[in-house]
Amino acid sequence: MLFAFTPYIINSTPYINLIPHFPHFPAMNVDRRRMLGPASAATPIVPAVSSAAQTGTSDGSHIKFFLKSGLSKNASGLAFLETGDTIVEVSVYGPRPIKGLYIERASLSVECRFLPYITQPNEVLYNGSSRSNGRAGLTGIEHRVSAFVETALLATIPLEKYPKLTIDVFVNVLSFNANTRSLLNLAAWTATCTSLAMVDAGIEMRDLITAGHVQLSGTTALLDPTVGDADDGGSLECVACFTTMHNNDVVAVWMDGSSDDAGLEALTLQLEACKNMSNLVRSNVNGYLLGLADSKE
Amino acid sequence: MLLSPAERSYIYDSLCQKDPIRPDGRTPLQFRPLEATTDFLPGSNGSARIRIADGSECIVSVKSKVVLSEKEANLIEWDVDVSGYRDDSNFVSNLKFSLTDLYMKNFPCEKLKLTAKYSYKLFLDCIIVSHSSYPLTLATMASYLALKSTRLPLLVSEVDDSQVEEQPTFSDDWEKAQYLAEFFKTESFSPPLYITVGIVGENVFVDPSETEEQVLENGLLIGYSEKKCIAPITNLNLATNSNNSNFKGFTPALLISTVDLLKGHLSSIVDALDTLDKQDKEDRTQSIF
Repeated sequence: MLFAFTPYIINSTPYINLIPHFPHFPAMNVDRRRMLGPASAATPIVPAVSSAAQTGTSDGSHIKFFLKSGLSKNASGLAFLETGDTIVEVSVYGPRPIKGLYIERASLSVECRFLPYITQPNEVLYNGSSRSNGRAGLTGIEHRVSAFVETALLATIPLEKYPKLTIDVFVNVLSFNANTRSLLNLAAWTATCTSLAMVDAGIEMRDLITAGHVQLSGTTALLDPTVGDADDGGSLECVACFTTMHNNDVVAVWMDGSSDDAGLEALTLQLEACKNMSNLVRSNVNGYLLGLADSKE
Repeated sequence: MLLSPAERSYIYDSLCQKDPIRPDGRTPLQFRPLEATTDFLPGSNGSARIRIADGSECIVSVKSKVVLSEKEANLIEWDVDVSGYRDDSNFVSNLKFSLTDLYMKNFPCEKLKLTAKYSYKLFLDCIIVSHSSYPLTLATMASYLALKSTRLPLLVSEVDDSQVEEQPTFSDDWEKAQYLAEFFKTESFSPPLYITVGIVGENVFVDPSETEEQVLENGLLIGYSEKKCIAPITNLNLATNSNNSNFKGFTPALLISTVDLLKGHLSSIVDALDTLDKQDKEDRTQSIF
């Protein structure tokens, strides 16, 4: 009995081996099936995950976005927009000729797609059971965003200047966090990004489209809000797209949310706040485009 | 039917002027006359068919199913079918999205609860047999009538089944079935409606016809329930072809004044639908079948 009752030390802990035939195993309760890390390993310090902590403000001072256009050689126009967790890329093809009958005005098509792994906001409710992986068609939510952008463009592009032509717009949502942002917020940023892609494609527009998204919390309108910003959680939300050069007309509007406060004061307040945010975004987009024009000269 | 440039200009001018004249002689806030029947499908809990003079027709059927509450995300599910359109087309998808959105936020789904564990789930199937103008108002009116005529069988088992493994049982007698208003225990059960509004200049027109849609400057969809305008409120090009050369933006003030204008005038449409539903119910009780 060579090893019996021989005290020895592993990891500076004294053990007394009671099993004479297996001297390698210091004690029975140690995990023997896995490769264990070194005993002196330190646990990394992980910062606390921020969950929808960012809140909308009534003056829009928190709004930050990154904008870039003209990245693609294939598409006629391309714009890229990033704000928070939302990343949208819009490519415009056209105006390109169509075969067949003569048409007096260009035909416009808009197609919005989320990357397949992205959770769409309230997709269980809106898309029903129709969603499957490897799908070909668009989901209900994607159709709705497409229609919103199309409405805004129809009122802004002088389609009669492009007879016998087609303009195709493809919106790709590359990143979106459905826990922090609502569908209306996505629609707002998508509309802004699309108008920049139109500029990049050199398609004539009556004016840039910029959108504002607000949510009411009591009697204050929060610009660019995060889900759960409002105290009651389900108050009225509004997104509106404006063209300033045409006496500040609304080209697309979408109000949604609980029905209780769709009073006239609430509507007025929201549209006014949408206009403020739209102007804020517009001055930045204009600045970007002017910078772009300067660098080309 | 596509209008010629001359026709379009004529209709646009007559709608644009201070005292607008609509092609069919209606006043700006007047709906087209409609005809409806309720509860005519024997296989469903409630149903309605609605027709208007230009040949548009819509059928809505309501079916119910008992489900485990915790496993269902939504207790009301829409299916929309439009003849001549693919189910995955943008047109049909948007109709379905609009209807789902309206009902999700303005229908008392929590009252569909049957016992502690089980609920009714309503399936609303809408078939738009034919249409010439934007069919959303028609679809919501038909579903209004269908839901008003919906009857659910009477529960005879215990309401509180949180402690027991028991499935709900129902009365065999169809005569004892309850209308949704009785089941919800409310006096005024009024499902939400969508109102389509057309904009030309400073004028607004409810329920624009196919001809009017082609000259509109913009179109609005406004939710309406219990004497007030409700969200969702949105705008769109009502003409199905994008060949509407007048389409342009509108001022925010116009949207607000439209909502204000509609609030006072729309109770008559709900009254008309309620009267129709009441008459149909009386007819059914007098019938020997």
